[in-house]
Amino acid sequence: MNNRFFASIRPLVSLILRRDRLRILIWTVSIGGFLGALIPLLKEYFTSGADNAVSAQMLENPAMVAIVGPVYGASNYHTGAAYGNMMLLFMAVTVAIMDIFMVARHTRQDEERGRLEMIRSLPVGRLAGLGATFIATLLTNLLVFLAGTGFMYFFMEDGMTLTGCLLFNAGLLVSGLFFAATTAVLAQVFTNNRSVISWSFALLLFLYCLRGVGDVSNETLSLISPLGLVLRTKVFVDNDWWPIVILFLITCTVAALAFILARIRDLGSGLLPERKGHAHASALLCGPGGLAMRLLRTPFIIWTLVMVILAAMYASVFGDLESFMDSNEMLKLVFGQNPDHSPTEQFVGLIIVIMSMIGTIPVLSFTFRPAAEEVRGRAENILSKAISRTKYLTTYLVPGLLISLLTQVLMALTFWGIGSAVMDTPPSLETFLIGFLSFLPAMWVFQGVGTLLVGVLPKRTSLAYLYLGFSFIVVYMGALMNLPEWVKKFTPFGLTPQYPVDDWNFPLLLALTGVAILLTIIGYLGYNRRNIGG
Amino acid sequence: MNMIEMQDITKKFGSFTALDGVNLSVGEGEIHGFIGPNGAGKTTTIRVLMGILKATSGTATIFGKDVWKDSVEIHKRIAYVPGDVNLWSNLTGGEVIDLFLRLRGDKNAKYPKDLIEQFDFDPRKKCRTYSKGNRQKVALVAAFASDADLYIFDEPTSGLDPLMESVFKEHVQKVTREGKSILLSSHILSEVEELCNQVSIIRQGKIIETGTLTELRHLTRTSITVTTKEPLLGLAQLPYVFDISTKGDGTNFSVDTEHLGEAIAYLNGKDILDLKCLPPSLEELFMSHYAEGGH
Repeated sequence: MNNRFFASIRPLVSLILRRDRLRILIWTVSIGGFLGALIPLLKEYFTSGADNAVSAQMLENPAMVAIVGPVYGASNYHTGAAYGNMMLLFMAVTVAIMDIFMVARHTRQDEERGRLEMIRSLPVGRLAGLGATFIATLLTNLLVFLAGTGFMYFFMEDGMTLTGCLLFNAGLLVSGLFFAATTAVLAQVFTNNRSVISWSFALLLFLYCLRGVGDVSNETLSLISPLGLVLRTKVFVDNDWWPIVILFLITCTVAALAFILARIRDLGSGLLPERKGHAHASALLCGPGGLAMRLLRTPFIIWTLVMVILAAMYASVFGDLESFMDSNEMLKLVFGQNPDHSPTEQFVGLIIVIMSMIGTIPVLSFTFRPAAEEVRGRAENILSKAISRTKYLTTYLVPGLLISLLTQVLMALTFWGIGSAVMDTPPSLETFLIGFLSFLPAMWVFQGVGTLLVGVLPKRTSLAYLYLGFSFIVVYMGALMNLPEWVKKFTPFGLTPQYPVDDWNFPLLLALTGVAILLTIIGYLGYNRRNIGG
Repeated sequence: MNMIEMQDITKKFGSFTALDGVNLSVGEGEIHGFIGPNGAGKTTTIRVLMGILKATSGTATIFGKDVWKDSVEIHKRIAYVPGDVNLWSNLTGGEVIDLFLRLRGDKNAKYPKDLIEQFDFDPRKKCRTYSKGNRQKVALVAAFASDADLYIFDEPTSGLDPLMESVFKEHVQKVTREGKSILLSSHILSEVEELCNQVSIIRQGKIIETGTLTELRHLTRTSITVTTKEPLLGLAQLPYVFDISTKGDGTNFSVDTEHLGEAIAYLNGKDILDLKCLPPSLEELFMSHYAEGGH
């Protein structure tokens, strides 16, 4: 093509594919592999002696419908129906995330960093950049489509057909492209990449929630949301193709809008001008603590919400737990061996550890903030003022400590509140509180490990996440796979007793807290002794 | 007492020696120019002084206090502008300047408006939208708005336009009149020449020359353009004269600045019609050092 809009589009497509080849490979393989690998896992879950009608009944609980979408084919709930029900929405969101990042990176981010200006100074059409981004995104999604269909076809189980596999992946393809197109539109509207990504995710979240509300109460709302539309394919049950066609037409319209907007605006500008901020700092931004608070404010709020929502999701299934447990051989095997405690209590115990481990992620990320600030050359701004290193480090450790306390208490309250509503004989608030709070020392040990890394090995902070991942596997898989008990002793989450099933062990918790304090002190000493890079 | 006193400071990163026995002293009220090519060790020296890097050996003090152990005490009286100003993308420039002032102790500090106007700076934009020059203005405004005894600037004007450069120079001269001391690292020689009364030259981690501009000029040659009635016989034989060339009626040559008087006395006997005498610029000084060191 050689005209003023799309000249040189081909080399631009190659450039994007070259820059993203590793990302594309990783996304394709992991999405495809995941789609395939989950089939045998789900089959195990739903056919190992389980009464599938009961499983379907549990998934028809409004909370579950709001989260994963409506149940189709409950009367004959085979692996295919269960797979479509549990996987389609989740994977559509995953592909949407991939496409949002990909489009934002090659449109607004390139423009913001001035790379697009370099390209545009060459004999390149005015819309070639946007066009190339669309083509490259389309190619990537087609690769994912092929990988997904291939892997699913390979692992196919009862109730699944090639048509179903194609439809499932076509659903991922069009809904992914829809979010690629909306991101492209938002990239014309906002002048910076951060806003483009934030608003794209806000739109994704909004459409997800709209579908959630729609699936529970009002079918029309679900049909307005592309995510709801995709679920109406009733994949592996009825295999309807009309939602794909409609969504494809909508996507083309949105993409056309992106091109029209790109044509009428100037390079480097957005349709919405950058808002002016404050001329002066507020009274809160008055020291290193105020700065840390300001920088961590948004992640603090988001993590707290995420933890509470996760807790609410788990708590909402407590009511159906007993009947579900009774119907599932595998779960009986895991939870059925303890005569003193009901399976529900054991399940609650396991969920508490898992939630505590997820809650450790923000603690670590706050603890690592000083190291991240250092790499970006911003720690220097503070440390060149009359602020000691000890004080600087403390301003980031305190929010970590606070979020550990806050999320554990809020999750206990959520479990108790929702649990009381859905269970016949709910555990007491005290049980939940002790259960959650007894994992605080374990979380603090992780914060100690994090502080130690910041102080001594600031370039290796990912080691703490690896250790957390190890803990997760040991505790979570240990329950399913009967790992030897001593393996659990290598992680504070395995060491901590799971109240109410295990007895409360105060000296052990005290010892863990002591270890956490010791690690933290070593971290402080290291931080005070080393060079600050940047 | 000297404001800055560095003795035999060595800094190694692994096997690489970034600073190799650096000696540097900055007296009270002194404006000390610190020049050298990229990678010579200017920034490393300054970061050791700021207590951000720990020296491998040697002693360094500011206000008589140890730069590593007493850094917090020292920083109360220092204003520092790094060469590469990195800021928080979602804070505005105005917020960051206020924050920097407040980190010095006064929790309610606000920057004076006139300083922003002089630097022609919009404080309401988010830091991610600022160019390098504008990010430097954030640090410069914060530095000049604070009441410090010692100002340390690391290539402060590398992103500023000539207009802003002159605003910067005005402010440097203003704080100098107040008796403050300044360490100014730069590779813009005219800047150092205009502002500084002391200069140190660093190269490959070593200070190779230090002194007043006048002292350093003695090490160089003055260039002379002269027109005389009588021919300049025997000029080429003078041991302190170099690079003779003729252009029209005039003759160009350079002379060791130390022997300038003798050269003038010689020319006097030849009946001078026109004489131009150019002092050595720092540029030449710089070049002569790097040319020497380069081989």
